[in-house]
Amino acid sequence: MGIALVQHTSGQENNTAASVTVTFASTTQSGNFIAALVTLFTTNTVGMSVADGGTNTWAQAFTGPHSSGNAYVYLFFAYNITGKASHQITATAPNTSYITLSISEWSGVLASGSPLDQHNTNTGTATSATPGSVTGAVANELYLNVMTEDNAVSVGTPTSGYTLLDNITTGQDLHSQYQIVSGTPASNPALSVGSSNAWADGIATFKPASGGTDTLAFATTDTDTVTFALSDSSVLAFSTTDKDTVTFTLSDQSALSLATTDTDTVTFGLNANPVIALATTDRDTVSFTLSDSSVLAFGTTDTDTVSFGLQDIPPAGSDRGSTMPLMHVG
Amino acid sequence: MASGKSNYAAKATLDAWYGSTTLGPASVYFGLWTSALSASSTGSSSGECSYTGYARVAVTNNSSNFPNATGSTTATKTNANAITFGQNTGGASQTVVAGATCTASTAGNIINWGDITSTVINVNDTPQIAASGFTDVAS
Repeated sequence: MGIALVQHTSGQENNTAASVTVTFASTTQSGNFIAALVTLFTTNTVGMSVADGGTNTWAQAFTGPHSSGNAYVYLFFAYNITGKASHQITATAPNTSYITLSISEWSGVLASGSPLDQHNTNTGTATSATPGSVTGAVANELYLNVMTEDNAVSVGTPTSGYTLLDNITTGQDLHSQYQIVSGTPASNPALSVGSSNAWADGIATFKPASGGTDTLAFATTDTDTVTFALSDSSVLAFSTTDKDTVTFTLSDQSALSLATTDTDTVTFGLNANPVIALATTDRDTVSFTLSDSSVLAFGTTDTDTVSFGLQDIPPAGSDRGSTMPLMHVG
Repeated sequence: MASGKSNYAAKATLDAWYGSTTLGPASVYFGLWTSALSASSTGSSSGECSYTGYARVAVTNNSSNFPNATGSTTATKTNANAITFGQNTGGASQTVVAGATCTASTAGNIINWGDITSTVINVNDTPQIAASGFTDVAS
């Protein structure tokens, strides 16, 4: 679980009306959270409101600070929303103005009460705009920062750890960035305005929902397949008791002894000068191939079937130079 | 003279571990780990979850919680009910990668273990193994 951005869009009104309406592209989901970031440029009466046709109740995270050049910034929000298709959000000023509206829908934000935790605002003319520091009281909050300035300038990259949400440089510019933090870090994110423009900046933090369920699963099995390799002069001894499959490879002068007791499958390959000794006790089938100067010794006690092929120099006493494809001992 | 364990015996073995106390403990304790487990792991192996609110979950070892093993070619034992761990109420998340059934609420031995798809337990999250989310397969 945790907070996640669901969708985001924006729109503008460039001094021909007193309001701007923006519509979400996808149906908003009930229980989610909507943030409405607004920037305003006006020399008239100041004020701003946000609504969505009465569907939800809107609150203001901070009162809009304004730059020395009459640029204002606002952050409104609605939580535990009633979702709907073609969900429209309208920002309205007292007079015809330059208005820019950015709306974003989020999941995982606290819905049982107001999620607003901390906020801070700032104005200035430094080349790096900062809203002032905030420290969330609850772990894993949403930190949402919005800034405007008198002259439209791209802010470039977001602060480390933040993701740029808006970088609108037309009309009344609006720049925003967010971070879904881990823990409760202090943060005073900066956005570069590149020159000494007057700016207004604000940040608010919003609490996460009180958790969801993470579904887990795990499985164990008793039919494991074991594969291993021996090198140098390793000695291996083991026994199998059911239908395990065992595959291994011997090299150099390894010594191997094994006992099979039912329908186990044993597969192996020999290299160099290995020595192998084995005993079978019922109708196990053992197949193997020897190369070079391999030495093989084994004993059979009933109707086992043993098949093998000899190459190069077979053991003394055998038919030198011939191939003995099958030896049946009963 | 071929031999082997029958599917009946495989089921009986599983049923003796889970669903009764013939071999298994009175309660089976489910635990979560942030690091991989192996056959040599024990209940004291490092990496068990430590987020605020975490504890192993005790499940009474009876046939209501662990119904008889099923299957015709292999035997499968599973949990009948969801197993819900404590909510992460602390300040940090943890990533779960393995789970185990243990013989005690802390330390003890591991009966079975298995990998879990890496899952982040964020603050305020509640981990849960759904019904049939734990399976033990024998043959």
